[in-house]
Amino acid sequence: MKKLWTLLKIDYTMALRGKFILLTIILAILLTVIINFVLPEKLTTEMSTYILDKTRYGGISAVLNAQGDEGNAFKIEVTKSEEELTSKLTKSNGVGVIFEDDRVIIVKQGYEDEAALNLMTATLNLLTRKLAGVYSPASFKYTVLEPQSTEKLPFNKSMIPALIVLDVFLLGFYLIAAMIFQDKKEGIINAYRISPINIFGYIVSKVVINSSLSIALALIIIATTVGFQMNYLHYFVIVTLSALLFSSLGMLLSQFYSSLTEFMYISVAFILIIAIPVISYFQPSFSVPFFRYIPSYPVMFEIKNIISSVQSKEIWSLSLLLAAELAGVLVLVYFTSKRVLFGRRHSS
Amino acid sequence: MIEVKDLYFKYSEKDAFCIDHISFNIDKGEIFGFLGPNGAGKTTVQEILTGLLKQQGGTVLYQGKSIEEQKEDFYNKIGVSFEFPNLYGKLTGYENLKYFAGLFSVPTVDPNFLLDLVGIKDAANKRTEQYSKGMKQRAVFARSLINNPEILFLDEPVSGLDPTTAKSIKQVIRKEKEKGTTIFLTTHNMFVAEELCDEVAFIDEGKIITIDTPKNLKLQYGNKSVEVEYKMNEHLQKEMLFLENKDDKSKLQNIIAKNQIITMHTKEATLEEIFIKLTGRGLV
Repeated sequence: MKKLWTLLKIDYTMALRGKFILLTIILAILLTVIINFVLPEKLTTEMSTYILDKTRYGGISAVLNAQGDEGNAFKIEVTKSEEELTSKLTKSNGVGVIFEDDRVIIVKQGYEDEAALNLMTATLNLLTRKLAGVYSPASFKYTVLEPQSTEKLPFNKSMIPALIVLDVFLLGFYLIAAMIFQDKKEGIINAYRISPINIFGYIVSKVVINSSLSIALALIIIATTVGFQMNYLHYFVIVTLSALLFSSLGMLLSQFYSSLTEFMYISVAFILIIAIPVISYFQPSFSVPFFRYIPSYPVMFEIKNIISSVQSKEIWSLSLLLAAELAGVLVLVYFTSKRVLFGRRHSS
Repeated sequence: MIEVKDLYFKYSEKDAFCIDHISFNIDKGEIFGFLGPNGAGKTTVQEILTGLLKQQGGTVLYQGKSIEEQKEDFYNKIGVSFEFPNLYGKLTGYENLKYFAGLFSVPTVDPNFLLDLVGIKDAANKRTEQYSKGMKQRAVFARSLINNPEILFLDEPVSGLDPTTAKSIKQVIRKEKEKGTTIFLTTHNMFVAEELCDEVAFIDEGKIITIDTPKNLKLQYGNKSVEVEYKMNEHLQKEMLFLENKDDKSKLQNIIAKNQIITMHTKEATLEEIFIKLTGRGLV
């Protein structure tokens, strides 16, 4: 215990004087500002639609005006002439719809979202059928299979799980690597190798100190963006296990390299793998079964559930899985460190 | 205390032996010097003896127990001073020693006492990244004493130090010997070896050329040398010649016959001169 305590004191002092703690505080401020003030709460895809009624009937404008914008996916504005329509289109990113007797002309900018255009065409179809008296539903009703999925987080808050995986956990991953490279550069490893050091203590000390920076960052971000209306115990458990896992992975990989420059290639590959599930997070339809085995995948969704205050049955099973993964990685780190960092060298 | 038999080492299969089947014994409480030029294999031997380098062949025994079998307890008993200082730059000298002391399971020495002993107590609370090379070297030397080691490995302990500091470090080494510490010292400095070592091994190109006490080496090789200063073509020349050596003897006769002699002394050879005589090369 005395040796572990000594190593913890060394690593804490090194983190403090190596400005790791300052970096964590700066990152916390930066991410808080980005989430609260830079990212919008709502990512709007609203498209303005400018209507010109050139039919002999001339009543389309009246119908549209009477109906109003309510319930529409896009804002409708009636224009009086082609000049006015063109002028409005050039000043905005909207779409123009010109009703003639025998056809409807759609004037688009060219870069519109295909889904939004399809939605607009469907609405126009419905409108023309309504005008012709063919089909006129009294109302629309939505039936939801998974009610909890409608609990939508504001856009900026929905970014938090991805930011925690990609910034917060990777902070511990990189900081522990930086500490290992510092120890190698200063020749400290050699000094340790001729001392009665406890190798597991060396690993635990580095993992604990660097993970605690990730955990602190994750707590600051959540407190300053989401507030206290969520289950902090669940959040703390998931964040702690994930931070420990990512720091251990940082140590596992970095010990094979002698500098951050050399480490860059493998770390970029690691980040790519960890980042892949972010695609599924934002586009749930894109989910390859393999993604579920990447730790960042379940962690992101669980953090989202915790932030949304959605009761999740998977919190403890995920915690167990993370703990098992952490134990496995630590065992690997122990045996590789014993050989790579602390083993007898075969050459100088 | 330490027995080394037929030790060899090479960095790769294609290379020649860096350590070429060497053997020596070090008694308890003895200062054993490894004297040789840079690249002779001194540090490699020390790294094998401390377990930093994997032994390829031969045996290294500490009180009859192989280095390969040594456990944590062995590292509680040894102290190592590296040639190239390895300290936490962002920690102070005091913190470097204090934290290192925390890794041992045996009673340790007060870091301030050791820093005072090597003359850097005033810089105890300064980060070692601000230390000069000599100060760092002294801090590493002080750190090697933190656990009251029974065996001390010193790699070029006074290299690069000013004469006053070197003198005080040598004094500390002598005191350690008086305490009964066994000391393995590598150096390319003949004066250090001569002043401190009970026994000296000359090592060159991985081979031990000779092992003996400095006194015996001088008696054996150094009692019939002549240093002659003479003018040849208006240029002042200086030669050290060994009278046992036939070539040197005729060279001396030749110098006396053909040149103007300025000074001529019989001289006790230094270890360096003996080293040159035995290996044909200098110590630097």
